[in-house]
Amino acid sequence: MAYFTAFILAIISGMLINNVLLSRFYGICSFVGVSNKLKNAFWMGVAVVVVIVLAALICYPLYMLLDAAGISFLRTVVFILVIASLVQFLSFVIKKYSPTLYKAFGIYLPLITTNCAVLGVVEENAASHAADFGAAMANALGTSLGYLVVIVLFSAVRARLETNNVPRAFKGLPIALIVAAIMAMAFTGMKGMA
Amino acid sequence: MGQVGYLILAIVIIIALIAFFTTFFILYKKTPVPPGCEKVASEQCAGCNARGCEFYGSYLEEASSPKATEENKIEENKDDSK
Repeated sequence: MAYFTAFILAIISGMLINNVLLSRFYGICSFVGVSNKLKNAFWMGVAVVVVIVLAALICYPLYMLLDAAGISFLRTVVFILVIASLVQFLSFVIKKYSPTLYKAFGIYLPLITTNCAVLGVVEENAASHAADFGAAMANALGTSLGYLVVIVLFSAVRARLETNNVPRAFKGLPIALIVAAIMAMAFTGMKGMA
Repeated sequence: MGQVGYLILAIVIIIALIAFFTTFFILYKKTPVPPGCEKVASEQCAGCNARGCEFYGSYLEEASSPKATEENKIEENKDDSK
């Protein structure tokens, strides 16, 4: 029971306190670029959740193998190749067998290959959670759910701003960055809960 | 297992991963777009400027089509009149 509680707390910590976008600033490119519409942002977030969890599942035992073999210095290269292969595999499977999923988030998968959030999570798992598979998965789940929550919130705010009287010079990217900064300040307030 | 053995293991792992990536990349490119998903880029892309993305070209093409250009002009005129 205590382990389960710790697992849930680790997920919440990854989601809110050490949020991947607003506290650690990973994956900002896709965060700003895909958050114009709420539906796109939601499906981008779902795609990131799927990729991060699967990448963490695959990279964790792979890191154990590399560490046991004494070649853990290769982990970054191996992780990048695993993530790229995983994304290509998922893209192929979705394109071939599920037109519904392809239409929903197929186009976001190539963006995730170069998303630092995915590599950041697997590197963090290797560095600090190497001994505990549960902690590594909690970190992966918390981080990815944090990405989903923040990108959906951000796109909702951006959608509201579309109909507001924003000065012409601030329309589009400038106001989006200001909103992101204010959200980051809000999330900083949660740091004390750690 | 000596140092040479570990080095060979490292090279085998990297080559295997590159082979996986190449295989799935080729399979992905050879798979036809599912029916009903031909215009997915123009419907969902929001101009994220990710030039490395394979959908960037088709999104740009759709965005610079005469119909899209006319819609953009109407939007700009609305902003100017405000």
